[in-house]
Amino acid sequence: MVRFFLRRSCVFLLTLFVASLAIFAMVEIIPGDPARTMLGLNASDEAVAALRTELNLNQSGVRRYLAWIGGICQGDFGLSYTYRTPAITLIAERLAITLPLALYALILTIGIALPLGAFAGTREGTAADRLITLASQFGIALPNFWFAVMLILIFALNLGWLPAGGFDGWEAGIAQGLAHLTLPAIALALPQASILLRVMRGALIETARQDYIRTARAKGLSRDQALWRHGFANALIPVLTILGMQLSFLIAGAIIIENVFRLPGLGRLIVQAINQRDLILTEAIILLMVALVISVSFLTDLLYGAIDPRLRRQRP
Amino acid sequence: MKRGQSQIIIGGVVLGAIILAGLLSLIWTPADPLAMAINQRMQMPSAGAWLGTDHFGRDILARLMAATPLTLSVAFIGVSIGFIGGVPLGLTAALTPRPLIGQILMRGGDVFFAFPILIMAMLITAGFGGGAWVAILAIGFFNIPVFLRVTRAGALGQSHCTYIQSARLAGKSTARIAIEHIFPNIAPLLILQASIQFSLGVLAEAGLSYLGLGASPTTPSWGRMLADSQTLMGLAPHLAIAPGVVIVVTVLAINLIAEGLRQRLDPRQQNLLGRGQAWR
Amino acid sequence: MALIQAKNLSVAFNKKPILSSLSFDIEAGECLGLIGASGAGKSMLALALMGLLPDGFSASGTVRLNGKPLDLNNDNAMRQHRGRDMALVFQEPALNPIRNIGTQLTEAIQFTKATATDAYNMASEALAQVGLSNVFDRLPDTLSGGERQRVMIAMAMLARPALLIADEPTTSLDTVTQKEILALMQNLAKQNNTAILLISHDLALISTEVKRLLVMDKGAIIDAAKAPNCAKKLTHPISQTLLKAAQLPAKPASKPAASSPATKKPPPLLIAENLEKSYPASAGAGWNFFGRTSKQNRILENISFQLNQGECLGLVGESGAGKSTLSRLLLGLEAPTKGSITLAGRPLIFGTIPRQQRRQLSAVFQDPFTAFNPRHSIRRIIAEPLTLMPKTLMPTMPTRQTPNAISPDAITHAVATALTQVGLDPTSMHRYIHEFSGGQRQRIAIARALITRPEVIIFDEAVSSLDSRSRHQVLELITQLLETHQLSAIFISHDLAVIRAICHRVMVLDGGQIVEMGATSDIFNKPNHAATKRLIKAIPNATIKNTKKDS
Repeated sequence: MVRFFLRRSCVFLLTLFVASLAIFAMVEIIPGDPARTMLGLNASDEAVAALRTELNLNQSGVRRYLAWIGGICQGDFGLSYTYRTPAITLIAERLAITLPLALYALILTIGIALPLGAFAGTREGTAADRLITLASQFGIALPNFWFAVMLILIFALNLGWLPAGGFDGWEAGIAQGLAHLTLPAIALALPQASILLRVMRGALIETARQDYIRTARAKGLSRDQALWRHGFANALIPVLTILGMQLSFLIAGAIIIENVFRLPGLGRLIVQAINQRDLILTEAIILLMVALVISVSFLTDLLYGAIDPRLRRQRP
Repeated sequence: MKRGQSQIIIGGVVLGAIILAGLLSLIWTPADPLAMAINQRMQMPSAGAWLGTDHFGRDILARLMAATPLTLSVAFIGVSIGFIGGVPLGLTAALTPRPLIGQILMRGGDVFFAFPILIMAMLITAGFGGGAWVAILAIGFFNIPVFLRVTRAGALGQSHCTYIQSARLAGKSTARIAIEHIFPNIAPLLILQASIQFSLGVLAEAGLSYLGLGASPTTPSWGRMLADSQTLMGLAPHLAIAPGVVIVVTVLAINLIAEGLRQRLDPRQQNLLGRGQAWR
Repeated sequence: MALIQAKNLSVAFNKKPILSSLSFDIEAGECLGLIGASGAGKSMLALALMGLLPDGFSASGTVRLNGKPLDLNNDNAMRQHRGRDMALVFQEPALNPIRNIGTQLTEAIQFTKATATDAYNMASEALAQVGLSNVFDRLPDTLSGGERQRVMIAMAMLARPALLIADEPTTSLDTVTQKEILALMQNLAKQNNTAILLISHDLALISTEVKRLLVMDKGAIIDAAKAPNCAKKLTHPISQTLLKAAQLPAKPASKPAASSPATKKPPPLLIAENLEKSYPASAGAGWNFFGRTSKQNRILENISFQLNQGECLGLVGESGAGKSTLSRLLLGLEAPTKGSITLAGRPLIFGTIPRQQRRQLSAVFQDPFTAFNPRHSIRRIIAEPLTLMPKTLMPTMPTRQTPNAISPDAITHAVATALTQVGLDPTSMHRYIHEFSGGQRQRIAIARALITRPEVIIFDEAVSSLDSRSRHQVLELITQLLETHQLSAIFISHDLAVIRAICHRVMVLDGGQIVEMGATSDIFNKPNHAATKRLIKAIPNATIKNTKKDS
């Protein structure tokens, strides 16, 4: 178990390191002069030179990378060029919206997909199964941002049940905050839930065909007992794989959805940062998001170990 | 009729119609997709403009048609990059006699995989500026590890078959084994994956141009049209519906084809008593 | 009153009949054999009796258990009997891969409302009875096939059922393990007065185990006989073919040694010297990214032997003895850790074997279902080794204009010849592999092995996955081919009966070493090593013992 954990941790750190290297190279090294990019073509040479000094651009790429990553390890993501505030402060503020949103969407995804998927998977070929499968086809084809627009149109503008967008901060009360996040979370979750539902259904159907289910049936277990005691945990393995990927789609999807609903989260911040060519802030946010994605897949790996004892076994 | 055939036909007809409409737009559209007519803006659908006009008075149907070639080709080229890059790497990862190379390829794929399309697009835009090629590259890069994983898994599934050993024994090189034996046998799997990735690519392109990270703002694009319509949602909700429906129908058609392909691949129905039956 | 009374039991799939009007009894405590070629409907009968027919299948007719009729199509009613009155052991010991053995054993007991400690004790006792200890907390994939089958038997016998249905329970095991498992089942059944319905395609295997025998073909019972010597009392023509298939005659001890010693003896074709093969102890391929353990698992040690011209050399051993590793070394697919192999006077170069040596060496593998690329035509499959040969190595073959390739017509001709040689229609070269049965596929594999006119063919468990009838036919074919073409062969098998039918000499592999080597008849008559004795005792062939008496 310890070795399993250590091995996974090493892979996790290595991936994180290579990803950070790639981000830094893409933004600061390969394109040429970041100072020129940030200030635009009309900037005077003096201004560019001043910015180069401020950003230490005259040093070698390796030293700049080390300084950058070293600062990040101490919580210093650099100074946002447009806001003149530490990037970390901006990010922390915005995370207070993005993280709850992604989490809310994740809970909805799981809450919708697993029960419906299990329901359909144990009733393969019935009318209920077909209906659920058909609905999920539409769910997968739905672009989440268009779905978001439709939700606003129906539930905010026409019915007036929920706010159409914006966010008044958590100070206004948790219920109020959640109300503002509900439509965005649904818009994020439903397409992903459709995918997960199909995986869950397929995995259950597949495990139902395994010979060990037949063994369990021969022991005297009923269909449901055999499926729940032996099928479910095995079916969860592929479900977990997809769920791990989906969390990264939820994080990325949040960028679009925040823009649709005008939520002042990380997604809005990064779109602004890119439009204003604030490379320091852009870089920081991308690193953070990528780190989130990598952490999620690390956690998924650990969860595999929890579900499948073969993986955590001490190898002889 | 073979299993899955009906899905493939229906999906193919719908997708074919969309592609035809896109091709048609290259030579003819019902109206100039770029011509503005401020006095006729935000018209409801009528005989003159079948789907109405947008906030600059441009014909919506014409713009939808004109946007089709770009969206589809961005998604197609992006997925092709992923396919061409990922499949050889996946075959290498599965067949290399050196576990270290396989490990490096897989871990490298994991790094790419940590950049969702949107984030990849932002990274490229931040470094190099925007354009339709950003979407292509972002979709392409993201798909490389997807195909790498699928190919490797498929190839590993084949590699225990003794016909690989026989070929090796006959003196066939690993490269020829990969091309002549393994690739044809996993090709259906890869085509299925490609169709799934293509539909995701269409969604991704729409999302990117919605955020302004795709084609330039003046070029008609489905995502951009949605973004524009959103500011006027209170005034003219119909503007938002048409582009969304087009995206949904396109993606549904591709998914239907994929579903048909999947059913064809499914070995379940092949024997009565073998692994195929559900024990319940 | 009989334990099971089946009357006109039929099974249909969507109204299409699968089993038709079976009537038979099973007495309490008896061991009834059920025999038939694959596809005869034996497994379907087992599933029908258990009430486990797959969706779409339905049973009709009456089956009484202790006089009470069973409602075979009613899952809930049948569930009361499954695991209590009736238990089932399958060919594949299928256990849930992510649950430990103990949990899977106890869960069936828990439904009978036993306490957890009782269940634990019962499960431990059951495992002890099948000769397993310390497996309670282990996962299925850490057990060998034989051990897993023991677990399945322990599981089936937990509730001391009145009837144990064993559907090809030993078919996927090596012969020694086969014998042990059958003995174990018999023993446990005797203790608990459990009746056994023993299902198999192999008459030789079960004819000594059972008191009565039923023969099935195409969904009907066509023949029956009682012990003693029940196999010989079968009269139906189909039973006769099964009986014939079960008898593998010993190879007449004559040929190579007898070839006149006066003429100069040709040098050995293949010489293996001091072969050794070790793998790193943590063979979990790929996991070991950050470090390498220095521990080595030695699979093979000190292997030396010679294969003479025109000889068929047997290599026999239980599973895990190192047979498949040795086969990979001989084929040059892997390099030995130490030692060398010489083929026709030249050392075998591993990894990239030169063309000349490739031509001289070919192989037939075990599994007829993964041995061919399903997308290639039979012609392409058989011709593959030939197309890779430069013309210079196949001197009799006409060339095309391109200097170093064999012409397509010549290839077609060669493929047709090879197909004829293995007893298949040459026109079948345009068909695809899925159209052929297991036995025919092995013929195609042999045709592929013959195409380059090799000098040595390695048969790696080449008949082990065939049912007894096709096994018999393929063995006859191999014997005939080896003789007419003066080929040398190494025949690898876990089954001494097969080796005995085909090989001049045998070497016995145990624990990675050759423990005994000699002429086949000598090994049979005077086995020295314990492993050899085990293998001989395990020969699943009552009739061989009979033929001994006859001769």
